[in-house]
Amino acid sequence: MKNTIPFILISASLLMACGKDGGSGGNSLSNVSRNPALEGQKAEGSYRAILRPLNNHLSGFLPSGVAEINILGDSVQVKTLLDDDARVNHLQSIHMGTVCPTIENDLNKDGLIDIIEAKKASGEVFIPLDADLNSDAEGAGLYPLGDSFTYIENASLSKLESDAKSRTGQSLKLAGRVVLIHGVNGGTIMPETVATQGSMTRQASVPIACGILRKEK
Amino acid sequence: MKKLFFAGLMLTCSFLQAETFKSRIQSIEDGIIKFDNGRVAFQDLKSFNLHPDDYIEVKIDELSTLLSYKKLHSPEDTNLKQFTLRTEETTPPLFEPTIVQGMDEAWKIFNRSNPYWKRVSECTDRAHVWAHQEFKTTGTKSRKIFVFLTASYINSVRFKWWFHVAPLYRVNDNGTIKELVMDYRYSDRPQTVKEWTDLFVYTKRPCKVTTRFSEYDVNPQTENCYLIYESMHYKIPGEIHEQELSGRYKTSSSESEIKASLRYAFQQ
Repeated sequence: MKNTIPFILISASLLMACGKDGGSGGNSLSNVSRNPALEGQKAEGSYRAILRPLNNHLSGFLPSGVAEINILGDSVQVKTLLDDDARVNHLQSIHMGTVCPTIENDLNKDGLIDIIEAKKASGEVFIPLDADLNSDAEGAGLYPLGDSFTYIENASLSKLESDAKSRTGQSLKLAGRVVLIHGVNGGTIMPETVATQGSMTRQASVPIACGILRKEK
Repeated sequence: MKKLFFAGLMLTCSFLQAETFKSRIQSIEDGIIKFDNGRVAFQDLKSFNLHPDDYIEVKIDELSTLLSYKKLHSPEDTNLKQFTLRTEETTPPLFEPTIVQGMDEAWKIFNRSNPYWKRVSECTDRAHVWAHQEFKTTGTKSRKIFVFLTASYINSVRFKWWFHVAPLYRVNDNGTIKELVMDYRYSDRPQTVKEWTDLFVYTKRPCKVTTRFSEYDVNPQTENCYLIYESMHYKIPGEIHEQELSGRYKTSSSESEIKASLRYAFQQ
């Protein structure tokens, strides 16, 4: 099926890399796993992150949105809304870290926070928010398309927990985690110093919005 | 099957390439149509019969180029929105914003900002509600800061808004008085005015401070942007302009006006 919609695929290998790659985010991964605030807490309830702009000078718009996660029993619903001006597939994930990247994380001082720099600040991918939250493999690479998208996916809490645990070794503690959304228009000009990951273009991988999940109730 | 549905949904979305909104035209200059809601549309207007004050439904593409429009009758509530100026005084009123004591208090104000805005909402309404809810809760008086982006700047970066507004607080940070913008939708912290304008002004050029809307309106080429500081009672640029034209000042905000902003901009 993935072959029938290649233009909306973002390499599944990227996600695999995200999961395995202590590499670029190795330091932040180990830092995160030592953070007691993220250990051993239950994930039930409602969580919300306000998604605010990152790298917004790449377009004439300020991307903004909201991520909401509701957990009831074994049922998880994830909803993300984003308004921006790029009609592209938007890679989106919950990350293991607890802070959004800032310009201080622009390590090579090229004026942009690329995906590698963002992961150093916000940690590796904890849960990819793709087309199938129940499976690492099946929905990997399918991300919402649009310059004003609404993404709603449901999953089993136990499945999500087990996937997250096997991928990251961490329990499903959502409060405080970072949500990152990526992707600007393909024609956007940016310097070659902007790092990317896997087979993604710079434009597809550059982060554009970030928020931190807070427990609502 | 689920994947097919998801893919189908995304494919469907890909055809919904135009954005449509309704707003009154504030002005037209240099191929830029400025709307009351802050958005802009780019168009060579030679073949278009549009004028300031027209209320239209507009369709724009992803580059904010005008694709089509339909003139509408201005709805009652829009009329209400345009005439919120209570021209009560003809001499400049004394409006003294509260000095917020310390950054802890500033953060508390920031974190009290209503976070449940509607997806489609205007900065004017959000700022008005944030400022007045804080005043109602704690008695803290704030100001509004308006940034106006010039036509030359908008054209140079294809920026999609021509103005933006947020509450501005005066904060005593260990003896230093700071002016901090609380723009809860777009920033995760109180910001200095320069940090805030840098969000919109990619050249990082400081904005010229003025008290006259006309300075911005008639002199678009020499600056990237202008700043106007007003009391918390000013909501829309039209009120600032009207103040300049009529010489009268807005010294209060009615409860109905604040409720209308709450209704327009926030989930109930």
